[in-house]
Amino acid sequence: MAWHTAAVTSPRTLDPAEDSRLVEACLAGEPRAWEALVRRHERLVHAVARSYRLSDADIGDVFQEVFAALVAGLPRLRESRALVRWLSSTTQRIARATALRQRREQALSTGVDEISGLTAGDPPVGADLERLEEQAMIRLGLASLAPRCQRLLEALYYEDPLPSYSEIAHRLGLPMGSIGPTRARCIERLRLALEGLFAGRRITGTQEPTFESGTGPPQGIRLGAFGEKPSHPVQEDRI
Amino acid sequence: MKRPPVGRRHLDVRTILDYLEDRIESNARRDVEEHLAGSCSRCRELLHEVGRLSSAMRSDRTPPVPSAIRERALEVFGVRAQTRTAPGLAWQVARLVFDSLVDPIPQAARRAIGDARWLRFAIDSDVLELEVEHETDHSMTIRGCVLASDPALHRIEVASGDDSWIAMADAEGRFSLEQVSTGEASITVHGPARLWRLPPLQL
Repeated sequence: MAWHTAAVTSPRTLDPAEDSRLVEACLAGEPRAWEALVRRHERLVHAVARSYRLSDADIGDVFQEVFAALVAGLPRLRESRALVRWLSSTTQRIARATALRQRREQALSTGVDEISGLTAGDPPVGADLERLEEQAMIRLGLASLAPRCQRLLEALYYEDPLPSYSEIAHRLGLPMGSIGPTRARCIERLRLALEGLFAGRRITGTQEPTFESGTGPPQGIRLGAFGEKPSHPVQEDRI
Repeated sequence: MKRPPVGRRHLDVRTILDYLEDRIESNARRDVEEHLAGSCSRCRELLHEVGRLSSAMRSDRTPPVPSAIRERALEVFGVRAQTRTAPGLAWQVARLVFDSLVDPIPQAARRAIGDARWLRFAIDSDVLELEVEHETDHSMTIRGCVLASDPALHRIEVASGDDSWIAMADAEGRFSLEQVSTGEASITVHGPARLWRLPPLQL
């Protein structure tokens, strides 16, 4: 039997107390609350662990170790933001230690001439924690929206390749002309649900931009920081 | 639908999304940029927020977690064990006291709830209210409220077909379950002082 966890409170807002309630239930020994808590945050832990390019078995070990540490640390972690931050940094610490241990073991079993070659060609590993935390919080916000908004935003922003508007319209039973306005309303709701998430976290390294007409998205700001165009081409269906 | 030119009015989220994704005509683009280049810090801030939000979503390609890995996290809590029930508590079947499908409902209330179905169950002075709204032919949203002492300690489980859904009530007893499969549903409520079982329902 598959269990689905649900938004605990009003589906229209991201309730900051939801994790707190799940933690309370976990502390009371409620296993399903634990499962709900794991499902809410598992992607973040998995994504940080994967960024260290560990084997599947090692990722599993890191994953388990992080959640075992969470069981012990539950009483101190009742707020979503703190929980997300703790999970990402703990996963980073454990995954990095695992990667370093692997590298040491590899070095010990390698000839002297080959040691320098172990690291020279390897691209850097590790996660952009801030980015992953932000994405994790957005997924929590998304889960608090009405189902139709969730499905629309998932199709428009998380699917790769991006489905055409006509396909989305067919899938969601929406008139094609309503996708644009509905998307805007859903984004606005998500933005409001996440209000406070970005508070005090202004984009770094940017100055007040200046705009020249017809030059496309403002060039004074790094696209990676905001306004990044989709990596896949936007479908041509107009609304 | 054609929207009026930006001019001096503030940008809305739709215009900003279209601007960021190159979905607007050059004239409209110029209007947007002129507006942003002016003294409107509010719209620049909105542009930053919306852009950052859509960028974060588009760059999020984290795959789903394999179930074998999830199992390892569940093991540390001993989730495989059966659901704990408080010692000494027995299941009680709640009594259906209202069903908008069969009971008369005032016109004004009907207008307020639309097509949703209202149900109310009771055991002694404890009450469980449900509002069932069909999203499609196959899925529905169940919102509800537990009116009992310590509402936040109540867990609501709905089993339908081969699946089950679970929600924890908030401090006011409210909860919500979305995308629940329609059909015959078995609903149970686990509270600190009482275990409820509702009569089988066709939802």
